[in-house]
Amino acid sequence: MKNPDSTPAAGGPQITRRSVLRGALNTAGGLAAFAAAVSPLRDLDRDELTLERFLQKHYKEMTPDEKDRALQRIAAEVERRYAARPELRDLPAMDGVEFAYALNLGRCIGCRRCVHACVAENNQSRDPEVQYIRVLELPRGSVDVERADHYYDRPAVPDPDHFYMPVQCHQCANPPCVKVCPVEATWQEPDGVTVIDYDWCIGCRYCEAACPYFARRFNFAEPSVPREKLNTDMTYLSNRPRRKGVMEKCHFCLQRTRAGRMPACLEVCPVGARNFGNLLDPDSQVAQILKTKHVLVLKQEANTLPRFFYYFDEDFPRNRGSAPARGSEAHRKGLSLTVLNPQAAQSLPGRGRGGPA
Amino acid sequence: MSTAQPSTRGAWVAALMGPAFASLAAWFIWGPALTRLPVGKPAVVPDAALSTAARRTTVGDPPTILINNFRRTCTDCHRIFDVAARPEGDRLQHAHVKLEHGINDRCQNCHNYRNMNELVLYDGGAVTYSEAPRLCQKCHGLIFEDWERGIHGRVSGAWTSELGPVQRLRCIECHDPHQPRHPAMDPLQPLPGPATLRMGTPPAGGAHAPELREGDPLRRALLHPQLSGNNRTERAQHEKP
Amino acid sequence: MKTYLTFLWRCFRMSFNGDWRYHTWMFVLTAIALLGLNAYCRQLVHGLVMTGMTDQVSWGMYIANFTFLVGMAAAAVMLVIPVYVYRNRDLHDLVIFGELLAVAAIIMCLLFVLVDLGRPDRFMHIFWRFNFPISMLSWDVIVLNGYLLLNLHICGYLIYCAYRRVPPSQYFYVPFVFIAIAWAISIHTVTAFLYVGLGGRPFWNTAIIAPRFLASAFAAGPALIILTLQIIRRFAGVHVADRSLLLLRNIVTVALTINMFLLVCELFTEFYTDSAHVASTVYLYFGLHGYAALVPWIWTAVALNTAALVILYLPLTRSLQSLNAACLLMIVGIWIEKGMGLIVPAFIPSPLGEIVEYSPTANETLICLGIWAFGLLLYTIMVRITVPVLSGQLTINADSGGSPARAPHLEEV
Repeated sequence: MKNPDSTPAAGGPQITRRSVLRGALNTAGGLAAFAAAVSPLRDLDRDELTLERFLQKHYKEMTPDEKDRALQRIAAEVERRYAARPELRDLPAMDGVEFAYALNLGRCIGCRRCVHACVAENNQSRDPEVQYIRVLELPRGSVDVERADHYYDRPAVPDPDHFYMPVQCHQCANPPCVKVCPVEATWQEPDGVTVIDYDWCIGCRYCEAACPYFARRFNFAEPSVPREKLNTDMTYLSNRPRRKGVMEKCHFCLQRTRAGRMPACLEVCPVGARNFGNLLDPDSQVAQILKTKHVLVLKQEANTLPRFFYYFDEDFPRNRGSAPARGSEAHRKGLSLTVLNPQAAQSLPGRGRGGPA
Repeated sequence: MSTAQPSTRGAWVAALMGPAFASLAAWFIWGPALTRLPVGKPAVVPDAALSTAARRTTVGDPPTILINNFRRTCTDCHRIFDVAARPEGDRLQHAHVKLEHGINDRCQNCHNYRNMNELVLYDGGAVTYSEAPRLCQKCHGLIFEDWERGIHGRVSGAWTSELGPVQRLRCIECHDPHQPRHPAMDPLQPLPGPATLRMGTPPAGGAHAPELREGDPLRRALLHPQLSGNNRTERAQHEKP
Repeated sequence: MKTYLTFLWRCFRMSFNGDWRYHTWMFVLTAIALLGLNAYCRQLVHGLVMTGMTDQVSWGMYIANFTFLVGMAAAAVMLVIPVYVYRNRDLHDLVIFGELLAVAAIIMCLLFVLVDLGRPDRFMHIFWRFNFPISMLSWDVIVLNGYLLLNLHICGYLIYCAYRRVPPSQYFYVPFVFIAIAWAISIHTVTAFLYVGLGGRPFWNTAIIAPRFLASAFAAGPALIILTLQIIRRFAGVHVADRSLLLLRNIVTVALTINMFLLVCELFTEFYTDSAHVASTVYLYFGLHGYAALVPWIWTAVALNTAALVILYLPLTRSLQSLNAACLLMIVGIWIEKGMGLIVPAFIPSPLGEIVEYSPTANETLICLGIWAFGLLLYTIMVRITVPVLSGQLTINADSGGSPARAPHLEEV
């Protein structure tokens, strides 16, 4: 077997101008191929590659001055891209506040208003679509998510054979996603909301793998929000426009809730299935619900201690055949509501006639 | 391996390398894009769908109606048409009202026949239209309690009154008192599939075939109530003779 | 210092030096690596939407290959242990090839992690704010880079000593060898913990993953080393005793047996319990609700591994041809099992019960091929340098091909 090194002298006499030329040619060809290979990089977004951005510190390490500068830089960037000056600010968590959410499964009708109110409020990418809330259509008699339909598209909801369960970030008190992040780009704020520093995330998607609620979303492509749809009320940790390659997720609309307002998904809910409030305030909506309703959390076995609760209240009879129609048996027997109160019945003239004809 | 060949083969390799690199470069620049970006069409969401306004506008107190350009209250007519005298009479003017309110199927359960500008409680006491929740309370006491505590019904504004006004809708701003059940709605468009549209083709019969776990007694009972019902009647028939 | 720079320069020259087969091989690898580089540049511009990954299946081929290659890197200890712990003389001169393989494998691992990042430009954030020791990924960064440094040091030191014709000082490398043994086991354990610790993924959340990782690594790794050693023996003229290969064969046999046993344990637990957690396993082996993209793959893997095991247990593997066949079968089998078979099914169904299948795109596949080609390129160059240095053909005095005076050798193919 020929060892290439054992014949070093063989080439000696053959060193010619031609071989040198060929060597140069091959080297040039290789370099050209390399240059052509990296040529797509011409299309890289220059915005992403500024020194300022490169040197920006982690949210928690920024001094107020640095934070201001970062906010200004981001605002300028947003203005350049969307032609609208955003009201970008940094809202800190309030003292004595722990946010929690409660959702009434008995009332949700699966209309997906919350999904799209969230998209509009939080400047989520429309193309490709990024949505924080998923509404699951589940057959009655099971909370097995494997039977859920995420893509139901009926002419009308609710379907009497199904119930609807919206799922979004559960803002766990024991969040698996925070644990796994290698660069601490996501953390739990004092008010219980798990946030992401979009300028710190390296996009490894480990948190997405760790989340038991499928609450995290990755920007696989550059997010696109139509200029006229941009919500200019934004904060650093919540709904400022993201760039490709970073994670995002529900943050209980911090730009609203830290300013005292209700989250967007709650305000739009046509049936009032959603409740939000301060867990530490005994009079708040959620505290009242936890006290008086039968509350459950999703995937309790994962011990994530969610701050997102589901509950059912009184049986809300929207199922088929729920209401006895006119002419039903009860009706024919003359059983009518007013009979329950004889006093009232007596006070009304004509009451004595009994049942309907 | 013969050593006679290498130099010629070597020459070939060396000669081909440059052009090969060059064609590689050409491929990089002019070659086809190998991956189609699988981005779906964005959903069309009408702004009206995301309105946070109350779903219903409520009548005034007392309710009024325009008749020949004159604003009339209920009693303007009902002075003449004494409903108290004929409580089961035809609903002349109000034929369009479809009452679907459970077993509550009498007008006088809520309307005060002696003063049609008002509503009525069990004890015959009157409630004005602006106090409508008190009327609903007479049957829906638990829900009323929830509503008072702020955990029933739509809320908007601030999550605590300390930080701003809390707007709470009244019963009839969401519920039609004659048909209190929420009407069915058109759901907004679902995602076109996973964000990047790379869902495999669903198998025939759909991905979520509920019959897969027919062994589940609960599912069986829910999906085929007639099965369990039939069993019971059959058994009953067997036991009879 | 100057000597060292000269050494590096000569190594650089040496890497261009070889016969026509060497040049063709290197050209092909370079071309594939460039294809991968080009594909990666496209991915950088457009984002990870160029891959088949979705929010539902958020890790794919990259992490699958990464996992497999961590095993390859860890497997170098299967050469080191017999030599340094059991004083096996046959393997002594071959250890370095295993360690070089580990270096190349770790570099490939790091590249696979890099291409998987959505924001590689922020990679340095791990230096400013490192979630250690809470995040398993931070552990992985440490152990992988540590292992790379250890092996670079050991190989570099030994080769440089051989180049300078001085006997290597025990104190400079033997302690590192023993650290590297423990470290090799740690890299694969930590990589397993990366997955095992996720409570939301029942498919991964089982303690058996780490031992299975080690067993499969100690089967596929030495199998690759067996093949590599034979190629080196054939083309680089290094003496490799058949005895050494047969020793490695024994290691492979035991490791593959343990691997198959652990697999059976795992499958029994899953299927006999038959709880809701079995969904991913059912998807992998039989398909779920009609979706069955991985089923042919995993049964191929099972068949390949079983075939390899049968071949290894039959006496006919005393012949090297059938040993090679067994090695090849098991490398492919374990690559499927630890890649597509371990990473992807954990995401299917998603935590909310959605079934989204994954298949790599052309661009993604090119990137993977490119990284493999680059790794092989590195390994070839390292072997190309190591062989003449260790055999005494390229030394500080007797310089046989790297000197500037003979620069045109470049073309002497």
